[in-house]
Amino acid sequence: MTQLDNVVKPKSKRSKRFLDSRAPKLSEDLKSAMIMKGGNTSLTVTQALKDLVSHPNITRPFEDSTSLEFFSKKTDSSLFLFGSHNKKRPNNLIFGRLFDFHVLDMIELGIEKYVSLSDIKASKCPEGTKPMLVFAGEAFDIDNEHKRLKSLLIDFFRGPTVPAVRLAGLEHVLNFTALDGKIFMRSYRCLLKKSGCRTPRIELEEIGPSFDLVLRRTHLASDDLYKLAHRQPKALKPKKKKNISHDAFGTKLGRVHMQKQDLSKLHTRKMKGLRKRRGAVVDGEQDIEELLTAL
Amino acid sequence: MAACSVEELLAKAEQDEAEKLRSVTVHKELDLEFDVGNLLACDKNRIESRDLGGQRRDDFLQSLARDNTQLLVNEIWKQPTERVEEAIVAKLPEPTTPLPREKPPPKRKPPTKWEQFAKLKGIQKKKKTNLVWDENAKEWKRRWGYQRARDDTKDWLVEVPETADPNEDQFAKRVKAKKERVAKNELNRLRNIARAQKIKVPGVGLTPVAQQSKDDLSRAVSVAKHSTASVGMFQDRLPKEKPPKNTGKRRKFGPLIGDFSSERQKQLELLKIMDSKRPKLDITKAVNKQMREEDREEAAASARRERESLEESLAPVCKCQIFKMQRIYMHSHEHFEVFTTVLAPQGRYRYRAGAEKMVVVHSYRPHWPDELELSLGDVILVLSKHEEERWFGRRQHGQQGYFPASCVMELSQQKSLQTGGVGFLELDPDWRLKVWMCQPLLI
Repeated sequence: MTQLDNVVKPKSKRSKRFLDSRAPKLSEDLKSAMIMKGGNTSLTVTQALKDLVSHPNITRPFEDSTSLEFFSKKTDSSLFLFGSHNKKRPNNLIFGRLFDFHVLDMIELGIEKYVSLSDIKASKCPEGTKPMLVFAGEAFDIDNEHKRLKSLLIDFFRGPTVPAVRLAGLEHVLNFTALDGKIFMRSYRCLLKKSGCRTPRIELEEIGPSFDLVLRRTHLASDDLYKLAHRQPKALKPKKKKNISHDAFGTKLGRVHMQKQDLSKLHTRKMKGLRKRRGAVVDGEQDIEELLTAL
Repeated sequence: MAACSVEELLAKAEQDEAEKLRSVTVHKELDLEFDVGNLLACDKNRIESRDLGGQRRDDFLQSLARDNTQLLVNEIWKQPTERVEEAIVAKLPEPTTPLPREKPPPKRKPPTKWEQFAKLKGIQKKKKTNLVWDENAKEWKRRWGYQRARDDTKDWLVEVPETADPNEDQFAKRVKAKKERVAKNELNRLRNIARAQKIKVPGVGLTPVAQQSKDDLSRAVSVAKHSTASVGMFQDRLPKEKPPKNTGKRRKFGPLIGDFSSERQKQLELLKIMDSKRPKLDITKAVNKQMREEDREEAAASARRERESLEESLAPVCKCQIFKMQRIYMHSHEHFEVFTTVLAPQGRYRYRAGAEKMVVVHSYRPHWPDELELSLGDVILVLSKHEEERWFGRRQHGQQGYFPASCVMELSQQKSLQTGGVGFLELDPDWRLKVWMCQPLLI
């Protein structure tokens, strides 16, 4: 009836906390991703999805994204990975992200070669470590689609933003290489070896799934929507301190504004030696009088 | 020899060191771009596309990855470190890669009415404790909420103040006051929201409720219709919309003492009505209404039960001669008499075991308060016959009371009254009575 109908008053503290966690926040934490299977998925795709990390009944994200948006609203997640398989597009993976529960970007990648976790016999990294991401290839810088793909993959794989990281815990490395129009994703475990100096030498050991992906369709957001999505609230911008400047030597200079002062009544530091003595003043006066009388 | 070995050793040491240093350095044409906050490294160097088959390509990729990771790790190791619980931890800067947000940034809500007031007066928010010592219960209770400390609605003893009405229910008064406070609070909350969203709060009764019933919605519709410049006078109705039900005349409670002339007018009119010889009741209207009501009840109740049994015995096109009927003499008007007939279907069931339907053949005025007034032609359901001459029964309207048995006669009696020909009676298939005006007949 009225817009007030949509206002839901939480009846308990728990529901209030739940609603607050879903409300837009100034600084957002980790994005959660939905991993979904399409109607017809091959073994490859299923394995691939399992390795990377659901039930929703979504048929074709590229054609109709409303059910996708509905599920994202329900699970409060802004990233999705949709796997499907059909004759025309075998072993398909669609990476996508949403802004305000509407589709922002969707990129379809086809799996050409896939080696699963179980196939690679090596000790694995513990889950939950923040991985290091390495992108190689000039395509990621030049081609617009690749640029978006890079941003999308960063969003997907980066993990929570932490203020500090344990140096010994830097184990997982995800490597994306754009070569010959294909994208190679490899996952390594890095071993920190002793070297002469403080920085350790890195040795890599392949773990994890490796994908050879080829870029298929893309659905990218328009420029202004992309810009809108990037808009940060003003509160997050670091406040610029006014009135502070640095000179050439690096000293910090600031300006202090005072009201008008009567300088004769200033209370400065009193130095005993500079005080006028009574005797001296009297002598001076006498001298002057003598001079005057003499003339 | 020793000197040689020393030199050798030194040279070897130098070499080793150089190697080690080399091992952490990687030569790249273009420097990588780092985003240490995200642990991200981007290599923009051109990769020569060589025709590499599976394994060799993997090796190439691995070596490339190793180089890039080395550079990234070098970068990370440059960050300031500290020791946290036996682990060396590097402090990461803020991530620099711009990534889109999940949801648009929250809009600042305009200050609520209280917040504006507090700002104006300089009232600071003071942190209050959650628990308060309750003297009566001798324990710590919440300041507000479920089972709070000072809940005046839960007092078992309330002193009646001097100035209060002794018949007033103080407990109910407190409960009512609480309800009013809650409602006021809710209204203010909604007003705050409405101010924030720049919409208007609708009137009382139209604020959102979980489940809106049909009359809430109809009330909302009527309010909406009225909120036009001409107060809803010229609002068209939708094709299938029914006319609003709630438009009744509101009674005006004018002041007792005021307009003397109008009061005099009203009193005189009242006297005039009382004095006039005009019948207070419009007989035809009353009779018709009564008949309709009786029709309806009869038809609904008996038709359902008796239809099965009667349909066997009766032909679908009903003619009067099949039934045994009795004509009942009803009201008499000045000019003509109105007759109605009541069916006497065969083999009908009683509504209640032992309860009989009787027809009043003589009107009766009650002498006692528990007696029933009978008028000619009424159908009475006799509920009990405690005494020989005094029976208890119910009229169609639901009125119950005692009456003398001689005033009524059984409906199912076979004997017919000495009346004239029935003639003009007809029955429609659903057994509604059809009344026909006849000439006055002698009974």
